Amino acid sequence: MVTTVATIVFALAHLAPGDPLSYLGGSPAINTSLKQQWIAAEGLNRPVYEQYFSYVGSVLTGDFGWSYSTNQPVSSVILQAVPYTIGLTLLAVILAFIVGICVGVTQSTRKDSFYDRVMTGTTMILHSLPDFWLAILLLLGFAYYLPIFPIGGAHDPIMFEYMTSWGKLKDLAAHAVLPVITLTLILAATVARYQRDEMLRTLSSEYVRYARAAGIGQSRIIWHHALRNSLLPAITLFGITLPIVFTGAVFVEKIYAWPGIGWTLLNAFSTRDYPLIIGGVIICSAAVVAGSQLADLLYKIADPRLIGGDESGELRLNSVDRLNASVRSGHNRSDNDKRSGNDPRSRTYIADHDLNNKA
Amino acid sequence: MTNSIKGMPLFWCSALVIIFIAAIFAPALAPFNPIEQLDIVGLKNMAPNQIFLFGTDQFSRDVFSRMLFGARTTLGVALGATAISVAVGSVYGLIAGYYGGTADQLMMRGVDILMSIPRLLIVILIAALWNGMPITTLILILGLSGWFGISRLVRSKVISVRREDYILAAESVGADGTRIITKHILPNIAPTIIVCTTLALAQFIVMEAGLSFLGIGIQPPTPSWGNILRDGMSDLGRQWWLSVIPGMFISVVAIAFNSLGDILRDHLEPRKQ
Repeated sequence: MVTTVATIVFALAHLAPGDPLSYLGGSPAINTSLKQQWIAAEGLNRPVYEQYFSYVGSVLTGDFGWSYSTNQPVSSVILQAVPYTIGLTLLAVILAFIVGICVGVTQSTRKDSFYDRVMTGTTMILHSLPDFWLAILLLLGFAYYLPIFPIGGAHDPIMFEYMTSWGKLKDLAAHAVLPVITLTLILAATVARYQRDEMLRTLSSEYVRYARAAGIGQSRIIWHHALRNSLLPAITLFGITLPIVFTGAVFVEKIYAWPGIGWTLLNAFSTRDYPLIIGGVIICSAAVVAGSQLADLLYKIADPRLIGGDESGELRLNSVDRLNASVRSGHNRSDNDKRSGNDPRSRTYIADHDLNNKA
Repeated sequence: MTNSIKGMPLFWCSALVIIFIAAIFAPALAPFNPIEQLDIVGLKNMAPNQIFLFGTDQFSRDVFSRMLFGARTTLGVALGATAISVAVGSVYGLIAGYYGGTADQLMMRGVDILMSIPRLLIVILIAALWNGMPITTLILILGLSGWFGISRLVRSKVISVRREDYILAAESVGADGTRIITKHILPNIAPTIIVCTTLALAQFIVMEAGLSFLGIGIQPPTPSWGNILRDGMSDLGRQWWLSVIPGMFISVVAIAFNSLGDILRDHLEPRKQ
């Protein structure tokens, strides 16, 4: 998979117009013979296939080259940024799932009530809002007009070094509040939309009716029986969301100057630091692939029933399909499909769309 | 999914119609030239007032006129990219779904691989390597990187339609593949494609705005909602109108298309419970 991405990136870089040294600008001091010397030193005069193999080889061994805007190896620049992005997105995703699931469940138990309608409208709006605009609004509101939170960055530029570790933590937390809230609000809206739908479907199933008949209290039915069974799409959504948020945090990181991967990549873009851009794209793609593998694994752990369905060989499903399959047919995917001709992929686009919006 | 407060969808859709009409008649409605710097000293960074409805930017250009012309760019790019992605995705899905077998397996495996590549990053990479891009390239890149989901949805619909008796009947009287696809399958999956189109429009509008906001999409001085928003980022606190107003329009259009998609889905594709 990493090889595929590296290949695509390599092809794009070679198809691009301009010569490899054009980033140096047209300084007259750099004459043709010096250029030739540099090209030979970088191995750019070798045949394309040779360059390709040596490139893919070095990528696979973790060598992404030298970032000349930061004057460090690309891998160490990325490694510095990774903790910030992971911290930000993990926190936001966890909060979003807690909030989203609670909102979805409470909506489903009060279907068509005033609360349900207001929340449906709110989640619809939040789900459609571009994250960069929400980030700007929060920044204006809570850092500029009401200066409660710092304007940007991950910590105080001057005082941070002199703080105690407790002070450092507090400083980081204060800087993280707005970016985390932005990502949480938008993600929670998507989660709530799924959870409400799924919960409504679960609540109308026979075992819930049976539990009611057996005299089990409403809150126990909801939080103990129904919620457990309606969590499957959320679990899959969790696995898929994580890597997508990882790349989708680009906008939020840019606006709050949060020094994560997205911010680093955009800086690399503005300084035309090609090795850093290319390395960053490859590493992020690898993270996305790893995330979807994780989603598959989580799903199998969460719902062993579906492993059997997979082996029927009828369709190869990936996690997005499973999410939709379970949203649509209440988990009895293989049975339902055979009987009614419903294809589990039919709602794929909706989930893809929901997630793409975030990316 | 849709159970919104009654009248809300109507509100969003009428907002959408007004914005489209304004975009079409932009040259007649715009009070100023969108790229003319009116008075770089006297008229820069003016807050919204009676003459400049949406204020002016740091180059003293009228933001209202820029928004009108920006609507043309933003909506145009979104329409173009949607047309490409829906067309490519539908044809790909129709072929894969109708012919099935090894071809289908191969085609879908290819889509799986393409889908796992983070799209935004690839677009950033292309923009960096090509040193910015003209609008047509932007439309092409957005359209050609956005059809994967559509092709899978169309394919799945084709597979379920393909099992119907009328397809069997058409096949038994000797109709060939092309005829069956265009005359029998396409009309039956049209609702799905229509829903896809509305959702894709919302997605592309946000994407174009996002890319222009990052400085990757539409290059200045051509106005687009995304790069007007970008202009405002240089001094956010003192020029709130430059970021808040375009963002509001992008959001309204995205919400409108999304809720339109929800309504269409509920009406055109009643879910089998």
